[in-house]
Amino acid sequence: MTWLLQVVDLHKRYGPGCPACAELTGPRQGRSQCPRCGTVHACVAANFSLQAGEVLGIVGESGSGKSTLLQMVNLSLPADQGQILYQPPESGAAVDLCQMNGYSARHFRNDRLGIVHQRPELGLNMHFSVGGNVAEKLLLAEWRHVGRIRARTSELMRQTELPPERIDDEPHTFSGGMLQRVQIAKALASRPSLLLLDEVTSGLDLSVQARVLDLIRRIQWEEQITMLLVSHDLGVIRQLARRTIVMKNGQIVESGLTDQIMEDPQHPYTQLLVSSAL
Amino acid sequence: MREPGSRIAFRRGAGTGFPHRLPAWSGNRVPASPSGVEREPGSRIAFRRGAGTGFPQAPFKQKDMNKTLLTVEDLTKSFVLHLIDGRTITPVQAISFSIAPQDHLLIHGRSGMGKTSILKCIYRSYLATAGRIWFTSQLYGRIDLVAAHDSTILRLREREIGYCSQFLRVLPRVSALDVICEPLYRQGWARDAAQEQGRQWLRDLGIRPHLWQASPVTFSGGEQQRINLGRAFIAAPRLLLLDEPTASLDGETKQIVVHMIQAAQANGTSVISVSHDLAALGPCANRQLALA
Repeated sequence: MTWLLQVVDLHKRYGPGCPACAELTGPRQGRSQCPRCGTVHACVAANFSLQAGEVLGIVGESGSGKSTLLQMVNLSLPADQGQILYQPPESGAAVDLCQMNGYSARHFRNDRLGIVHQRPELGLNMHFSVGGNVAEKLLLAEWRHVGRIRARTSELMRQTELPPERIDDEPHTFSGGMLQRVQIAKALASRPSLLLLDEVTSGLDLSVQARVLDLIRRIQWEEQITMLLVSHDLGVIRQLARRTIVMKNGQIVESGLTDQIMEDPQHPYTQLLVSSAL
Repeated sequence: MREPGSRIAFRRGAGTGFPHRLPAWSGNRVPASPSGVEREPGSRIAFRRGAGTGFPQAPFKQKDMNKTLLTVEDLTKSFVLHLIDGRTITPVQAISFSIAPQDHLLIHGRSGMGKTSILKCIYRSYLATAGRIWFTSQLYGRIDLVAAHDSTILRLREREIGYCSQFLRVLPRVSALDVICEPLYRQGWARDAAQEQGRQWLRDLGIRPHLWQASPVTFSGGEQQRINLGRAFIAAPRLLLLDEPTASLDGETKQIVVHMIQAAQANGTSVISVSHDLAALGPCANRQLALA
């Protein structure tokens, strides 16, 4: 088995930290903010690996640190400590993403990563046309031929079940579910080796949620793309992820096969989460 | 991805279809972690032939009969109910048994004796509290399923261990044909070949063709169970775990299931089944384990 991404002892905190932080924060204490120094420990000692072609789910309540973890993997948030090792599919040597300078990080993000945000306005420029948004990613990946960019954009729109004739329409004329699909099209534009999905179906009604999830499942199936999926919804995780990590108060409290997490949860918080599922 | 016709020359990575240039971000290389499990270069995964499936196989040899496929040693499973005053329930305590290739072990006993828990511990839907489950894998050699990495278990589920749960649980938007073909898709079968195989299984299981594109959620209990069984058998696993395989089936379909089990055994599959239906499954099991 080849891993694509390995996260080793990753930390992110907001504040100076104090010697009492470790004692006073975490799932056992039920808080991620240290009452003595006020430091917020958004992510503490995260360790996991991601095999090529698999979907790993990260589940947890609001404020558990799952989006922070995703942002660090997306290189849009610097880690305080730890490593994010990336092993390119074409060679065996791993690269520590945390050690990259800004220029290399931007190149890496454009070449190898795609991200779909919970809110479309975070992932899309609402003043550009839909085609312009997808083209932005291709331009960053050094595409220059306008005809080819439009052809690739149309192809991506078809792939994500968007009408290609609306390539020049502005995003605000699209529905919420369609905007998520535009984000997916943009994320897939440069054929990334890792797709990051941050609460992609939150705020969508049930039938639209189902269509977006089906689309993601189909794309994963066809392209065998590796995905890191963040959600607070166990139903979404169950549908897409075969392995799952459970986070609470900035820490990973449990990880395992998704069916094992659902059927035999070990940690008290995971048991609460599973028993709270609708 | 580079623009087609772009003037920058690439050397392609062998067989990956990925440009082999050194990207800007690759300056700070570190050695690959020794913890990554690698497959032996050039090694191929061997499959066994499902009945009439044209599936590539490593021929089943009679000498394999002497080997043990699965050994369960002092298996104990406890559930700690944190939400109900932290009490502990232990349905499985120090169970030991082993099975050889082509064995069919029937586990029976009263409800609540831990029959299904044993199957789920082997499949790793449950984490065993104590004990060992040794499985002789074609991919990994002798491996403890209790301690194996999650990714290893997923690979074994795709290739070597099949499981049929008591109830079919599928997405309501997926057709019966795709549900039954899913294990083949996971093994990398081409869609057309997998569906041809799936149609054959649906026919053999007596599912009428006009239902093949419908979701099994709309089917009767017996039809759902047949789909569930077909999904477990289609990939011809080396070890098949069946949880109440004849529940909610009529007499005729029970006979079909018994024949399916016997055919799988003849192809080298070992079966562990859990059932109250001793009349149907007792005669085709060569060993029984009564839990009391």
